[in-house]
Amino acid sequence: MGLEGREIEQPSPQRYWQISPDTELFLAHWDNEEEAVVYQPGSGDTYLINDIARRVIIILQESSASAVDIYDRIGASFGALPRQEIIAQLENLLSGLLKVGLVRFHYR
Amino acid sequence: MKVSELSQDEIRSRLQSNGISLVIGPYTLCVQSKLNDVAEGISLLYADYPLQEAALFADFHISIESPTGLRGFLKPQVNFAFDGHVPFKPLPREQAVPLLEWGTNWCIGNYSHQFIIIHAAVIEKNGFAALLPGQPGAGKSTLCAGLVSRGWRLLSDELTLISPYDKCVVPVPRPVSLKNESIDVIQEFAPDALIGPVVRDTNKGTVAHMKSPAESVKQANIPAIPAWIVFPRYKSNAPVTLMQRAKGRSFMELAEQSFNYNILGADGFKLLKHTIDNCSCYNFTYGHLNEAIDAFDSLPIPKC
Repeated sequence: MGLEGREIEQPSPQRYWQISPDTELFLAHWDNEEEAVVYQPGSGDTYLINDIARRVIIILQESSASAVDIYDRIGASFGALPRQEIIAQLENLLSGLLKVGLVRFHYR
Repeated sequence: MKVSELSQDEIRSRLQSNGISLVIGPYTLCVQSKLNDVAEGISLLYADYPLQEAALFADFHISIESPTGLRGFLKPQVNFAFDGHVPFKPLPREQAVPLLEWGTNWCIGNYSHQFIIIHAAVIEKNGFAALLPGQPGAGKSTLCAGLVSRGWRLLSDELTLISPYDKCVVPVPRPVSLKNESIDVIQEFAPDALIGPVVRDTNKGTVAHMKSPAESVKQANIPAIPAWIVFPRYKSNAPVTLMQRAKGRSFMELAEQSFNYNILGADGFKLLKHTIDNCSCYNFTYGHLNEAIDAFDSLPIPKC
């Protein structure tokens, strides 16, 4: 049977996230605290972020990564949530960081 | 030479000519004024401050004068000028002394970026400083006035200056600003404290300034190590509570309360982080000054 008339599902291109290349982020975190502070010299803005955002930023400071890559590093800390849901949450978090200019993405 | 060594006439005469140059911690403030109540205010509130020759360098040249013209007769007013520039609208004439204090705060807050400046009272004991940041009405000046009346050294009741070089608090002890009920509270709590004229109907309500303890002025060149950041809240008759506070949130609050965190950029972030790293942070509620002072006297001494 041929493929005529059937829609071929294309895999959606994955977004690879990175720290905005024109800036360096400064993090401050204190033992046993669930929140941290991040400072972006480029904009001069300072944000209070949760621990997941802090860990995502640390991963992206090492190299660019997709939400799936990040899941592979820290997904276990989300508990029993389904994988796809965690990845969706990470994408949401990254979009939030994108909105305030802390990260960017590119397609690979 | 100290202000107290000058007669009222000499103070008035200096104010009306080249100015009187007060040495206040790291600053020299040159004040000019033809107003008698400014002379009286300086004589009372700045009696213990060293003087410098007016011809020498001063960080801030300010004047407190009544505007000329017909309006001066109808509704007397007073202006604050800094280097000849008048940054604020005039205030009612009777607010000349508070205006001197508010204007000096403004000068330091806007033109002193060699330090990070935080809107917080700061006091010292045994070499360690406690910062008291707080929104207006939180009770920080009352608490500060109470503490300095019981052996703590006044570093400042409004402006905490932290040096990027040694990370210490640089004292800038000036009269403590008391508002509304706190004037009576401190008069009763510390009957020996010298409190200047009470001025009503200001933007901050009724205000008066308490003279800095002479010993705090004498030690104005001795910095202190920041050790505690205490966010006070006065609640009538409440028992004292001292609760650990998250450092991340304390950082954000101090950045918010800073006059120049944004101006200092990454250096400001690093200095504030260093300060938070080395301080214990607390939320503090109090309803009685005596209990509050006992709690401060029992703050854990940092290990360093």
